[in-house]
Amino acid sequence: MSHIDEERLAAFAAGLLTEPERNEVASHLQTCAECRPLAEEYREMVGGIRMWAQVPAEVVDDGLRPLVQRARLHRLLGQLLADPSMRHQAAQNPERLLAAHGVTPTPQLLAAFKELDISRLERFSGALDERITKLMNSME
Amino acid sequence: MPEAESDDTLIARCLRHEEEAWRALVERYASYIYTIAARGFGLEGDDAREVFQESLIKVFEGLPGYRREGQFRAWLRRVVLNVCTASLRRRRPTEALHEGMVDPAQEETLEQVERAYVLTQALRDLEAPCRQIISLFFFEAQPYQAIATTLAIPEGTVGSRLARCLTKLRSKVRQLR
Repeated sequence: MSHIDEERLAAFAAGLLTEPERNEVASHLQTCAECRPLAEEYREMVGGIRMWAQVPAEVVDDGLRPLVQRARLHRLLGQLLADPSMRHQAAQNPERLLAAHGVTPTPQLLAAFKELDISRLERFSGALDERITKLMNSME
Repeated sequence: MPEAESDDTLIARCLRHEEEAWRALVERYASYIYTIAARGFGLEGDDAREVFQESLIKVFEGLPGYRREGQFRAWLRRVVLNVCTASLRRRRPTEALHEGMVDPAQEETLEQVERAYVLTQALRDLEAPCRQIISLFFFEAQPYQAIATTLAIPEGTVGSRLARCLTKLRSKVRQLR
């Protein structure tokens, strides 16, 4: 018994064949136990490709934006903790500092930033994590 | 094609708050997250978008606690399942939905998503012409004529090229399993 070659089975699974070709492959598969597993493998594979959802680019961008903002803010806070002169600047004009670091200075963020009492931040302040978390939440 | 950065390396960079690492991590798993929401939970449009965004925020917040036991994808899957069930619970408060739990039919669909993920990894390893033709046909649902124009090939060869590329994809999948 001659068998169906692999490319044809792939084409069958992907719906690439004409109706007569499709019928020919289908009737062969009814009687050929050797070709069936490979045909099934291709059917599953094509089903897998078809189920994969392509996420729209704007959805990715919208999802990524807050992460990038948070990452920038984390880095900025790290710098503030390490640099007292920068903390002074930040306390004077937080809006300018945030903008300079690519962080959108929303009113909520500015309010939270002021509440941080930047100029008095200390490297190992116990309450700092909590305050930073609050600040992060204000970015939502 | 340059070798992709490992998840662990990428995660270490994300934890150092490197923007590019976050971009790369999101790009790597965006379709995976979206497919779980869309296929596993039937979420569409704004609902899928909201779950996608919320999942990313949860990943950002949860990553410092990720212990790197097992695959990152398994951890991510749990995060996304929790966000999806919480989202459904908000929409259908009368149904008994428990965080991260799914019914057997849904479990099967989610298993299919996992297998489909392996396929996309294999697809990434294929040579560019095959990646392109598979993407145009399956993901962009372009007709033969448009594919032929894009790839500058005779229309009559689109089907045979696609079939050949699918056999190559199968070989790659087998290598990954």
